[in-house]
Amino acid sequence: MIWLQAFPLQANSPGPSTVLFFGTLGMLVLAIGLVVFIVFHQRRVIRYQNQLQRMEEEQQKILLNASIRWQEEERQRIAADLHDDAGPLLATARLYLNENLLKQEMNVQLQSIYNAKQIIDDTIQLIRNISHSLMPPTLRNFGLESAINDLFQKISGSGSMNASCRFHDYRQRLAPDQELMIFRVVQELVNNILKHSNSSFIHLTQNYSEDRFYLRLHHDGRGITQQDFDKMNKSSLGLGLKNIQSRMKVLHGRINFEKDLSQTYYKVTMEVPVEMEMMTM
Amino acid sequence: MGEFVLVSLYLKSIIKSKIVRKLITYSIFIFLVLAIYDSTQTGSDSFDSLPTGLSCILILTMSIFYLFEQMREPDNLFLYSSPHFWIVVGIIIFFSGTFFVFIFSQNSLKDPNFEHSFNLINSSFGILKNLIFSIAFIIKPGKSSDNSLKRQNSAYLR
Repeated sequence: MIWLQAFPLQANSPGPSTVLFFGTLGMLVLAIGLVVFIVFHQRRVIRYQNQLQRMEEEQQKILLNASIRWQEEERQRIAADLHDDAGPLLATARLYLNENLLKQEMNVQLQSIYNAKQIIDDTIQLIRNISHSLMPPTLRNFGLESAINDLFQKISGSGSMNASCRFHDYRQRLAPDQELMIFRVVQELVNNILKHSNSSFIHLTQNYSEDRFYLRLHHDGRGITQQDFDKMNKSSLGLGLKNIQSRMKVLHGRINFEKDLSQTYYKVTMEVPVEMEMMTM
Repeated sequence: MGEFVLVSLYLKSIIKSKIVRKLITYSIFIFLVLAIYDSTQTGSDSFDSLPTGLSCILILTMSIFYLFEQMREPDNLFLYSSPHFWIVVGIIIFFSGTFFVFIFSQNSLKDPNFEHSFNLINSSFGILKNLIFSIAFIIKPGKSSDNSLKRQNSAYLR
């Protein structure tokens, strides 16, 4: 009321009082509007950030579950290999070498010892295979290039698919942990291609640029795109893909699934920041 | 003149952008030169509307910049839990409310009706500003949001 009395509005021509009244009111409304807008916008940003954080936590949980499940499956596989293969072999060898062996004739004794030796050799080979599947010796001793070459030669040797690889710039080995993880990702990708793609060839190329290590896999079968990969990562399906995702996260790298421009091939590109092998004196 | 310098220095101390901080320093010097020149031209008995209006615009621009800066890179999880936010809001409301009255003062201050309006507006917005400042002095500074809001978008495979 005091304000309205202070600014008598003129009907015919807007005097300084009218301009002053509306000008001040307009400025005040603008200022309050601006402050309110900023406060509400910030609250919206906070809500968005919280939502993003929740989604990220959910994704982490999925990856962690996948990793635990994968570990459990791996343990089960090793347990099954030891129980079903090594156990019976050693039990059979024990049967050949029982206490009655001494009461047998010489040639029976020799035959039993020979059979037991054969079985023990088979068991050693079996344990070596299990150990190699856990940590390929080629990878440990000769590096990623040799290990991938080895893997691809085995695939080609089976005759079902033509597999080739070419390393363009691999003068220095990466850190052992990095090599192992990259190898596991390649193994998982190749395994998926063998199982699902029905392709006639796989070709892998390696490159190195600006402290980044690149690996690219091509194949001509059925593949997936980045959209499919993201979708499967969010669902409960695709344990192997989740393992790839969590490994890439540990490597601080990126992986990209795409279809070639010619629409004939599928490409998978891995990009990993390089950690060189520590030189030990 | 003194009011503009003090408010500008305060805003300079809370704004993070180096370029804007430099611009504030330059604007203080330019404003001082302009205000001194204007006072020599108009005489000491009349209200210096031009420098006052200019100072209002400059302070409002700096304050709005501070708010937008806080919108982009907030120091606090909740903007209104920072005392600086309330001080800047007080500054914006006072200077936007008194902008027109200062502009008209040079020609109309001798008019008793206008003088009445001037006093009413100036006092009303002065009280409002002081009330808002008191919120700033009472409020406890909010927790820093380094971990929550400055966090980069870590969604992998961007």
